[in-house]
Order: sequence, then structure tokens, then C-alpha cells
Amino acid sequence: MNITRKTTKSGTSLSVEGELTIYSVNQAKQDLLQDYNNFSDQVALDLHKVSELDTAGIQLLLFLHKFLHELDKKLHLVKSNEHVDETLAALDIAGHFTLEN
Amino acid sequence: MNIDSALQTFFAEAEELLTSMESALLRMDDGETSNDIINEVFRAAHTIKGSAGLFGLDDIVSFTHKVENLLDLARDEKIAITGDLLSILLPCRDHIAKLVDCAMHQVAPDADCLAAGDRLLQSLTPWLGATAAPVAAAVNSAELQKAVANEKDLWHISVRLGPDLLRNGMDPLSIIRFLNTMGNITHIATITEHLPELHDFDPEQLYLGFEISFQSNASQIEIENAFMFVRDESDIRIIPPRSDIQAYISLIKGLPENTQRLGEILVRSHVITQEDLDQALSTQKQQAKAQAHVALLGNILIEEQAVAPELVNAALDKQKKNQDRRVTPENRFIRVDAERLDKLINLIGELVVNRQRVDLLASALGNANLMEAVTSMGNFTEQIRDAALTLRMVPMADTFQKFKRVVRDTAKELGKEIELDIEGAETELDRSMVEKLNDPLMHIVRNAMDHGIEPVAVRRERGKPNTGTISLRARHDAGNIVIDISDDGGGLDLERIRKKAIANGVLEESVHLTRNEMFQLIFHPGLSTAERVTNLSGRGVGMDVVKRNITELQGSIEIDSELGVGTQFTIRLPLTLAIIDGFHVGAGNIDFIVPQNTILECVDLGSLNHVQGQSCVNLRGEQIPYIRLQELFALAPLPDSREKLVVVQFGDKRAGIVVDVLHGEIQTVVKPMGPIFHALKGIGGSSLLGTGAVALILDVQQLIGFAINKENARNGSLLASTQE
Repeated sequence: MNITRKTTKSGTSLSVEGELTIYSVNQAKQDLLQDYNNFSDQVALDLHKVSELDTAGIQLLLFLHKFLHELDKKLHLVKSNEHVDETLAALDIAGHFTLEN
Repeated sequence: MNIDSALQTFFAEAEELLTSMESALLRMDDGETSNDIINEVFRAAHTIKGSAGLFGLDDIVSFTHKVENLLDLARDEKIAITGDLLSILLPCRDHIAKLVDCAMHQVAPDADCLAAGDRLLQSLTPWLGATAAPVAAAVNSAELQKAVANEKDLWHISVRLGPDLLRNGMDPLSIIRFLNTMGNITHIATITEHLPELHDFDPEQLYLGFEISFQSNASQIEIENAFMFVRDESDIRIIPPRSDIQAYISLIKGLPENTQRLGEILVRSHVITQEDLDQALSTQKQQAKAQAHVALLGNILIEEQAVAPELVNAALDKQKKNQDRRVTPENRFIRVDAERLDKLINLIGELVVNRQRVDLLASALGNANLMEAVTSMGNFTEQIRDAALTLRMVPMADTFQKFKRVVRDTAKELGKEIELDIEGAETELDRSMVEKLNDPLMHIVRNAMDHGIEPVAVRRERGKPNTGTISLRARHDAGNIVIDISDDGGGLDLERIRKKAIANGVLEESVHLTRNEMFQLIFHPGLSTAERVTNLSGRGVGMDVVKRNITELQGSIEIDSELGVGTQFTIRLPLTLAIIDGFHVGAGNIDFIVPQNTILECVDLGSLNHVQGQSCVNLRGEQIPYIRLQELFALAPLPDSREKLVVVQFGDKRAGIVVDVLHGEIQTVVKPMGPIFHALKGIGGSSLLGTGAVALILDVQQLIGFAINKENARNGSLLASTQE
């Protein structure tokens, strides 16, 4: 698993590559939230290259969403793949990660 | 939780509640008037109604509901509970019991029953009408029971997952995918409320829950099985399609999350409508007072909830109630199927027999260490046996309780004033015997009320208090339980019994009877001294049945009575019929067992003074009649037998049993004799010995009867047919 975190003028983007599962969530939590104080108000999430997503991975994403929401920041999914979409749909949580407008 | 077993729990619970309701009503009838006692009755009705609603038992719900309304008025002190009202409330309780009974046997109540219910409700109207307004408070309850009509037949599954599932390699997502293969998840809400703060958040721990609406033709079991691997650690609740809205409300209340939010989820998933929800929630609020004691069944849910994190105020509140409940006595008990207990006791019976076999083998080997081990094992076997038998023991209290009601109702019917005095209600007796004891006791008590206690005028004339007293007393006495039923009524008129017996051809006019024999005559079939036949007693059937029932329980019944003063029946029963301590003897080449608790002593027959020409010995100045087993059962006589006399006692009668060999003490598992041996007198059962041989267990009571009768016959006295 590999996580890239970029904060530019246009905003923060987080991208996950590889498997986001019980085996990697601890590392992922650290990597994703390392300098959350510097995150912009809009955080883009790229899951395009996620190869595997299980309940632990989903839970981490839900946590991320909730946590950022409490800081008045918005997390939204910008790029995804079939597997990720299917998983989010199975739990009916895709709505958490879309931009409202 | 399996629906069937939940339903069984409901029935058992309803029975208990109805009993406590009855007892409370009767205490009110005795003049007790505290808020607690009204509350007790109310709670019983309320819980029965609520639980019945969960199972869709509409008849029970609608009837009990009205009764509950009335009780609610009483709780608010809007109406007073008077004797008149109690006379309606008691039958109302009976009617609920009848409805529960119908539900248990899965039959619809018949028209008569429903009409009777309507009549009862009608007679409650005057009280309900006393205050118009408060009725509205409870009106919505009926709405609560309304089945949720959703055209799609949706199951609702509520899942709160155990925190360690992920670490243990489970992926709940796969369960959800699996559900999708069994049917169609029409709506799923992921509960994220339990996700903690950043520093507390452990990504490997599971915090999620799901509310799932599921359309499927699968059975409840199949759906439950989908959660098989996570079930133990998680809280899974499944509500079948078309359940009462009450079920959903209980679910919402039972879950730790915010009520409003869960309600919204259910509405969004089209399981219930917003209207239903609002109405139900507001009704719940109105009933909050009653909720102070959460329905017992709801208790189970709350119990489960104790493991979930206490997040919301509501949950904290419930948690507190939960702790309160912990200390209440009912939670110290575990409900066990009586069949399982019987199975355990049977197995222990087998163990006892096998131990004897090991005993025999060990002594044959003569290994000291082995024998020591066997002895200590025997010790424990005995303790296990005793402990197992006490499991089946129940106090007489429940049985006695019933009589309070009977006495109250009957006294009213007869226009007499009768008080029931109960003593020793805590005395314990084998459950199976308690059940069989009910009818005989009932008959004796009714007889006492009908014929024993005199009408008030007569009592005054005789200088007795207006109120007659019937006492029920139970106590333990040397391996027996003794129950006295006495009254301070008119007593038995021996002369009348005698005349009646002669008139009915039971007795020859010339025959002289002892006082005791005269009393025993009333157990003769077809002999009733009542001049007037009432619907209670006096039809001449009954007392003989009483005697037969008691005899079947290996017990005895005796009467003492004095004309004008009163009558006392004394019933003596063994504590249990399953396993007894016996004394192993032999006669001819057959093994017999004499129940240990009946044996007084054993003596060499040859060493005793025989009364000339009779089967009777003089034992330290007392005449003891005896009977030879070898003669009685026509066994082949043993050559060179040194006959032994086993002196036995039952009640206050003694006799001797002559045997050839004394083997010694033995623990015996009583196996009842098959039906073809029913006519066989003197044998109470059979048992297997450690050697594998069959031993016959003697019916000491009957044998004593034989010995005494034989002597009486020889003396030219009566051989009363009443003496078996």
C-alpha cells in the first residue's frame, strides 16, 4: 500500500494505491492524517488505484470523513474504480464521499 | 433468539405474572391497600399485554388492555378498588389466563369464551366511565399493536458488531455480500456513531453497525445462519416481515444509539411509516410511567445490550435499570425445562446402580486402595443424587396459594364466612408430586367448606366465632412430607356414616368398627353423607378418588374428627418417588427391597415370643402382627432358613415382614411397574441390583394393611374392604 498526500494551492489530495485492508489500515491511518492541520477545506480522495477494500478499509474512510467533517473540512471522492464503487454501494455509503453541489 | 423459545418464555412468564396478580388481588381483598400492590397488579397486566403484543396475540392484548386501563385509573387514585371491583377483576385475571392457555395450545378462543370476555369488560364499564379523560392516555396502545403493513415483506436486521471481529479475520462486508445472494438488500444504513476520536481510534478495531432492510424468501434460521461466525461476539436482531410496530419500537429502545436517528433509518428504509413512528413514540412516552419496570421480556434485550458501549443518555439510563434489576430475586433463577431435569435424574439413577456394580466388583477383588476409592466415589454419588433430587423440589406455596382463591370464591357462593390459614408454605416437595396432589387437596378443602364449616347461624348457636377457619399446614417429618388440612366445622358424625354405610350395603349391621375404621369408611366409593348435593361436593364421588390418588403417590391419608369441633385430614407422602434408600432382603430366591425410612428394626424371628396360634409376635410387650413374604407371594421355601423379622412402620401402624435373608442397605432407583402389574398388591416398583438381578420394591403400606387385616380376620373382627 502506498499513500500520497499533496497539499497545493488548489487543495489537499489524498491518493491510495494498493490494498486498503485490515493489514494496512494502521499504516494508512498514520499516513493519511499525518499533518491534517494543514489540510485545505476541501480534501480530494483518489481511490482509483486501490486494489482491495475490506470492512477495515471502509471503516477508516468513514472515520476520515467523520473526523474531517468535525474540523469543517470536506472529503470527496474524485477518482475511483469499479471495485471501490461496488463496495461503497454495498454499504450505501457512497453518499458520504461525494460533493454536495 | 429463536421465536419458539421466546414464546415458551412468554407463556412461563405469563403464568408467573398471573399468579402474582392473583395473589396481589387476594391480598387487596384482605384489605391491603398500598400503591405497591396496585402497581404489582398493573405491572403484571401491562407486561402480559406488552409481551403478547410482540407475538401478535391480539385477543390477549385487546382484553388485557382494557383491564390495564382500569388499573391505571386505580393507580392514579381516580377510582378506588372495592370488593365489588375485585369480584370482577379476579374473573378478568382468569379470563386472561384462559386466553393465554388458548394461545399456548394454538387454538382460537371459542365464542363462549369471547362472549364471557365481553361480559367482563362490560361490567368494568361503570368504573372506566367514572373518569372520562384519562382513558385517552392509553388509547393509542391499540395502535401500537397494529401490524406494520409494508407491501414488500421486508425483514429488518439490526447488526452491532463485536469490536474484535476484524482482528479475528472476519470481514462483515462478506456477510452483506452473502445476504445479497439470498435476497435483496433494499436499504442499508451504516451506523458510524461509535467511531471514536482520533487518538482513541484503532483502525483494527470494529466500530460499525448496520441497519438492513432485506427482501427475501429465506427463513429466519437461514438469515440467522448468515451471521453464524460473528453471532457470538455481536448483537444481531432480526425482525421478520409483518411484525407489530411494537417489535420495531422495542428494537429502537433496545439499541444504544439515539432513538430519533434509528427511527429515521427505519422510516427511510420503508419498514415503518413516519406516522406509525410518531404515534408509537408518543404513546411510549405516555406509558413511560409503566416502563419504570421494563417488561420482563424486554429485559432479555437489555441484558444483551449491557456489552455495548454506553454512548447515549438513553443507554446510560437503561444501563442503570439493568443494574437495578440484577439484584432482584427473579434473576437469580434459571428456567430449566422439566424434561431435562428428569433426564438428569434418570442418568444419576443409572449412575447409582452402576456404582453398586463397581462396589461389588471392588470387594470381590479385595484391593484395599480400590475399595477406598470406590467408597469415596460412593459418597459423592450420594451427594450428587441428593443435590439432583432437590432440583426438582418446589415449595408448596404455589399450590396453597390457589386455595386462597378457591376458599374466597366458594365462601361467597355458599354464603359462609371462611378464613384460610396457611402454614409451612415453604415446605418443599417433588414437583411431579405437587401436581398430583392438587386435586385431592382441592377436594378435601371443598368438602371442608361445603360440609365442614357450618352456616353462620349454626356457628353462633354452637358458640363458635362467625368466621370458620380452614388450615393448611405442611411440614417435613422423617423423609416424609406431612400435610394437615383441618377445619373447625361440624366434624364427622360417626353414627350417620355408619347408618349410611349400612343403608348403602357397604357395611353389615352386626359388624363393629373401631373409630378409625369408621372414618376410613368415607373413602369408600359411593358413600357420601351430604344431605344436599351441591355443585361442589356431595355426589359421593371424590373421597375414594382422593384416597386412590394419595395411595398412588405411595402416601397415606388419615382422619381425625370430633363431632361439633372439627375435622383433620393428615396426608403423608414420601419426598420423592425417583430414588430411595432401601434395605435389600431376600425371601425364597427372590430379591426384595424395603424402603429404608419405614424400617424400625430387624430381629431374628425365632428369638421372639409368638402369640399363641397367631401370626403375631410380642416385641417388648407390643403385639406386632407379621406376614411372610414367602407365603404371600407363594415362593418356593428355602431349606434351613433362619427367618428374620423386619419391623416396619407407616404412619402410626406397625407390622413385621418375615424374610429369609438380610443383605443390607442399598441405594435404589425406583422403576415403576408396567401396567399389567397394576393389580399386584404389596409391590410398589422394581429396581436393578448391581449384579444385574431384578429386585422388587415392597409397598410397605399395603403389607402392613395385609398383616393387620389378617390378624383382625383371625380375631373375628371386620375385614373392611376400605382397608385394601
